[in-house]
Amino acid sequence: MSPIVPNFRKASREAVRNSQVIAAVRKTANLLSGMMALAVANTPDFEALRNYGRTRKLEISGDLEKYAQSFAANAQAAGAVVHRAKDAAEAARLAIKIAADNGAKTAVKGKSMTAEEVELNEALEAAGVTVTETDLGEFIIQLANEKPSHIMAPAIHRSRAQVAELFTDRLGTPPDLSVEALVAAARKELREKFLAADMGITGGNFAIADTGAIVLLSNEGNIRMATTLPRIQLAVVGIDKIIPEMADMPKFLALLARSAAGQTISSYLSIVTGPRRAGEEEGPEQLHIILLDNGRSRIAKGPYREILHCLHCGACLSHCPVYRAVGGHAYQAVYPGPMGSVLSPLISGLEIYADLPNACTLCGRCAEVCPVCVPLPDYLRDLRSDVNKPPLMMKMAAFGAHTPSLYRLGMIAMRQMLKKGVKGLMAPALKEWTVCREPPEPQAGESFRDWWKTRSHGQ
Amino acid sequence: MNMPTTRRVSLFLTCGADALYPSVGRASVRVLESYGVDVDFPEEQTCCGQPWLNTGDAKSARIMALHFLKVFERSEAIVAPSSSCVDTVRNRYWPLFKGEPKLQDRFRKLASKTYEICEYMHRILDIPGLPPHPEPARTTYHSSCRTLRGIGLRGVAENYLKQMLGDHFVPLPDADACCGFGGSFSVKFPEVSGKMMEDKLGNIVLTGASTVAALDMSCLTHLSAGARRQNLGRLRFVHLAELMMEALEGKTR
Amino acid sequence: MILNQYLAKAQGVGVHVELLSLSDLNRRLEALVDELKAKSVALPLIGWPEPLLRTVKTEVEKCGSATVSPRRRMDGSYEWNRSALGSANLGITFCGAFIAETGSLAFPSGPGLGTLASLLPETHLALSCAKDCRPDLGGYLAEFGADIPSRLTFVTGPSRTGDIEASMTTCVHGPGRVLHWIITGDFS
Repeated sequence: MSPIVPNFRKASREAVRNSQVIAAVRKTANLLSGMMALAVANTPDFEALRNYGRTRKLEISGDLEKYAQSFAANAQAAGAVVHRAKDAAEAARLAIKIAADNGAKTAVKGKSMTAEEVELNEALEAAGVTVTETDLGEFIIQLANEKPSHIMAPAIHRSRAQVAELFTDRLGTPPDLSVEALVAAARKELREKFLAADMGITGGNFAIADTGAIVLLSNEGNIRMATTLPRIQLAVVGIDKIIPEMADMPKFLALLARSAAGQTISSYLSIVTGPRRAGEEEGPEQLHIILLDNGRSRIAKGPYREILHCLHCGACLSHCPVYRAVGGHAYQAVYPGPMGSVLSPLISGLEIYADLPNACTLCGRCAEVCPVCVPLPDYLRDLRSDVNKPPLMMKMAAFGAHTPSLYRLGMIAMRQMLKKGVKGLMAPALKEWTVCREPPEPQAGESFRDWWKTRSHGQ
Repeated sequence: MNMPTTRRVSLFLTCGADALYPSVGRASVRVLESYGVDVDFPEEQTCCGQPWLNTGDAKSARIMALHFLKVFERSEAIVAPSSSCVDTVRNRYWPLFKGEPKLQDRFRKLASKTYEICEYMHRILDIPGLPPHPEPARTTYHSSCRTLRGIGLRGVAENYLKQMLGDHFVPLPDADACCGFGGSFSVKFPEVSGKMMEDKLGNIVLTGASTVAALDMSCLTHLSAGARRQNLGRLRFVHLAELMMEALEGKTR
Repeated sequence: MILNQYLAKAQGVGVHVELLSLSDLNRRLEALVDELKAKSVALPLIGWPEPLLRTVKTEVEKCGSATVSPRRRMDGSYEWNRSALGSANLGITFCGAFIAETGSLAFPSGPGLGTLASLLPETHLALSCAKDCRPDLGGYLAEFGADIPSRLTFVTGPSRTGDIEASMTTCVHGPGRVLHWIITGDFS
């Protein structure tokens, strides 16, 4: 799909040097994780909620198709048109057709990673539909012609000063505006687009099987606008977003809002069930829902099934030490960070994203904060078995390492070589190690084994 | 009282201490012995197999796990001066043998009797306090990821450090952040690993400590090698057991 | 009890919430319209308790503000005058359910209910009766059974964003200021 072959080593090497981006990422990631910690601390039954979330999600991922069919039937009964897309290309084709059938030329869009996954903007633009991103973060990166670098905070990598410069350049605002003034400028710019747009495009945070409703969270109010003002609404929703009943929603909402931004609930919660009804003055004439599979049914049947439980809250990104060191763009994937390092290779191909499962220190922070307990470090470790080809040297080393006599010789050799400096044999082995460090320094004096022997004999 | 008269422990040295840090092994033996524990050292032991496990070579990791089982299965308890190795034995071995319930059972038994030394002193020996250190130096503590999230030991090492060092113990800012080692990660992505290491070293320098203690020599190998590259002066990197030994014996190295 | 919980929650999310009696309403409305210099007020006319709507409508008109409401067509359906709605400075809506657990105002859609009045103007005033406080979201959703409206919106504080350096800023696309006046006493 992407013309560039992702290379995390190369991208991350450049990313760690970009101190401006890293400072911006850290600042926001720190605030987000702080707010989450506070919200969780104020929720005494949060662990019980997490367990509920995981258990319920296991039921769902065990029978994705059943819930997808039930959702589709109920959404249709409520007047929505439900389309099933087996992959990204089909979803894009469907979206283009919906726009063309209705003569839609302009669209306002709410933030949706699922739409990023299908490269919806590119597809619609190519078909002559002007798409305006309306989430402030997405609006910023659309102006900058960039991709989101965080699934919840897409412009996390940009500082206020950079945004001000961008607005001056692209919107003609006075230089060096404050955050408040930048927000006011975006409000003015986007209000007109909302009122004029033919089509409103959103994702969906949850899709409720038993009522056919799409549930959308937003703090800015752009989603409310996109689902109320234009005459056509399109929601692109992954089949993993379906939950069985409306009664499940408040619990998943509680998990998501706390983990995403330390909130009890977002400023706006929109429950959208079908299009405008008879007599109503608001809402679209048509509601189209594209249910996207794109590998999800396949993932549900495999060993990494629980990645489909992900609520896309972004907590694992904000807490990940690697993400915080390199930012989201270094992953060169729609989904970065821990959840992305599992999901991106599974969706797009292990061979394309073979680096990502390795781009993790297995520190375990992501699993600790995941609101539905996805075993991310376990998955990343297991995925390495699928993407790495163990080098012959490591295989030989394994033989040596479980043969006590060879192992002892190896340890002695390693001590000697490290003591004598790294000329010769050790130098190539230490090439990558010494990029940022000196070679390990063995302690002087006798080895433990020699000490133990002398000691046992002495006793 | 039905307490066993003498507790017996097999020391799992770990390959890191075997190759680089004999003092960590010696300190572990002497600390345990000072509490009356009978320590033995099975000489056939090798490495726990983490390098293979964490690079996705499950086949080799299984071979290593089986060797570990052969060496240590009959031990009353296994104690190692390393949280990451204990985490491997405790939490990573048995899932390698799905579909072999009998073998998996044996690995679960093995898991239930393997401890990090600081953990063993706290949870099994129930040592409430340690004597003051004879020459306390300003010391900070790197709570490694596997200590915190692997074996779930929080606050225990810090408490022991406070008892031994009093005000000379200075907590590390952003303590639960990873140091950037991550095994194969450190050589696959050395620039990122180096950036994370720089941040950790920066926090260490902020504390003004001259000694850095941890329960994982692998993190400390990475950090000490980085500190030398960055010319951070003479920082001492030790396993907690070494400071314990000095406190218990009333003398430094 | 749940009203107190609501008050704490709503204040926590930045809603200016007040308890007042119907007799205080005229004075307070006059002050607000005056303060905002609201030339135009978006005011849906459906769904209100009659005495409350009468008071609001009379007072707003007395202040000299124009009102914009969903208009009833010949066929019984409603429509907004969008450009008039877009230029309203203040939206006043009746809120028939508010949630203690989250500090949220609930706005179901329906003919003439005009929920956009709570979204487009920079200031939104919601009026409620004290008895309409609900303990939690789940219980309130269950009241609908299978008969859920096409748009059910919960408003929890002002429109806000943290998208620039996680610095919380209000009034992005929706109102920057949300007032909730809860009318106490029996007046229906």
